[in-house]
Amino acid sequence: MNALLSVHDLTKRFGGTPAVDGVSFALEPGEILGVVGPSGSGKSALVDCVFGQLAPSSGEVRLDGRPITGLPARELSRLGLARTFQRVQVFSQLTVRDNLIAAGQEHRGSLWSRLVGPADAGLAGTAAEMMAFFRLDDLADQVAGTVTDGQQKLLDTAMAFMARPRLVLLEEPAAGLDEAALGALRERLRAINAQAGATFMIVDRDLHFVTSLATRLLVLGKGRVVAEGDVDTLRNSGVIEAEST
Amino acid sequence: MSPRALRYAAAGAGALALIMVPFALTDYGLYVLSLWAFATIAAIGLNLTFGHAGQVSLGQGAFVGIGAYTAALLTTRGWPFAAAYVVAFIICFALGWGVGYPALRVRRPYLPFLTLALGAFVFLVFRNEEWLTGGVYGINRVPRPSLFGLSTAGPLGFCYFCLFNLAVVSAAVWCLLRSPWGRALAALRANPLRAEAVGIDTRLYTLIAIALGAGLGGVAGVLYAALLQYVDPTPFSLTMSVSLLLMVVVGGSGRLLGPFLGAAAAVVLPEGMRFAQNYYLFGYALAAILLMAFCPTGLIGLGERLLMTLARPSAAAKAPP
Repeated sequence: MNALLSVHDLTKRFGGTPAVDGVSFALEPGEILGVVGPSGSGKSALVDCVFGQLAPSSGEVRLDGRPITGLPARELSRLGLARTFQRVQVFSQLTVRDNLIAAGQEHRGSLWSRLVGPADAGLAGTAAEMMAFFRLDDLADQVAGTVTDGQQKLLDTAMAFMARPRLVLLEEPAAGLDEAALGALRERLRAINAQAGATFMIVDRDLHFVTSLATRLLVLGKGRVVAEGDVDTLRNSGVIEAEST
Repeated sequence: MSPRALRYAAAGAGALALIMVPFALTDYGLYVLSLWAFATIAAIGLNLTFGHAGQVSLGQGAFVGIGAYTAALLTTRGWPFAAAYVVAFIICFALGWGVGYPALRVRRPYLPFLTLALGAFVFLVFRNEEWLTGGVYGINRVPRPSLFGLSTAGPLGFCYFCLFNLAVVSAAVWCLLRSPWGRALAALRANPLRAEAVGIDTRLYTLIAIALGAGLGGVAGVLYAALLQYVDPTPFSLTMSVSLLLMVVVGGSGRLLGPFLGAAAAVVLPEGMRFAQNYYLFGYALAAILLMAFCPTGLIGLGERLLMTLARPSAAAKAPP
């Protein structure tokens, strides 16, 4: 077993009630795992525990077999975990270009180089590529808070890829995007997965969007894993329609 | 003209005015201008702590005092002026780090209390440790430096020396704020959740801002000692710390030019308002309160709003029908 990420018996309690109740799963390199379930099923709490926004009550998370349980988000980011959030989280007072550079600069050079080194941290080229890839190139010098919601959403997603992460969590990437933007986003995520071999976790209420990308699904209900398997099997057995509507 | 070009033009015009104006001033005018340059440097330091890192420090006056006493002690013993800068900066940087480190370990805002305590402690050392600081009599005959072989002993020369210091500090801070570190601080202010998720070390970067801010307080203190050529404990009380904090807020916290305006409002304006006597303080306090309530971005923000209102009708007039 050479799983990239493995989660074992993860539990998160708020007060007495468990939001996540003994969840286990594993992710192989290059996989796209869809995490689905009705609202309140523990999707957000689960990914927050894995990506360092919440400390799990018990259980274990391993990256490449090394335990990373409860490490802060900052350190997980340096180990190659990147994520987006349910709501758009860009640096709204910074320009689009600076948002992208800020999302990548902590992963290169020394502290000293960040104080007296070049202002772009050597990332101007990568940021330009990313803007071209996500069709944000005309907006480089615009302040992020002033571009449209859809463009902020794309920027938000692009930021997750600036540090060449090994595992990317996209939380609700489809929310607020129209059909055209969704198609573009899907095509871009597929391309990144194929080119860079990046591993994805996608959490979304839009089942159609998740199933169009995911190679495997994890279905949650009331904090537990209800079903797990490839998309077609789950669809044939009727699990995903029953759980997610 | 783009806003950025306008800003550079305004900064250039301001710099040019600062170079020309000293020739037209009396000795007293030169003293006030030197005092303004000193206060601006101290406020630029505090702006890093408060405006850019969002931490309240009530100890900037103490760091200025440490800088001033360091300069007085070293230069009266024959050390070169440049050494006073280095030693004052290092001591204040280390103290800022030492105070900031425990304050940032906890979630609650403890920095104001710790810096307040540091200020009280430092004041007592200045006043009571006579063997070192001369106690209430202070230290006399602090020499003024020479720069590139030119003496700055006269008021005009020293005023230019202060302005030169201000130029160097401003340029250094301008560069720092454009560095990846400066971007990380801005990102942190804009969205701490995302900043942490992209790997920004919130605590370390904030600590660096606090320590650098304290270090610049020390640098300003060196200048202060040479300006008055005499140090005693009185000026370095809580009043100076609060006054510097007010300069940052009134000028526009988190903005590079904010301290310039804030220090002008606190140092230069009272001189022109002598006729108002003590009512000036009342007016200043009232203006500060109104500014915080209606324009939290300070004088800089107020100026920008005025410019925008002025620019809008002209843009509308130029637009084709």
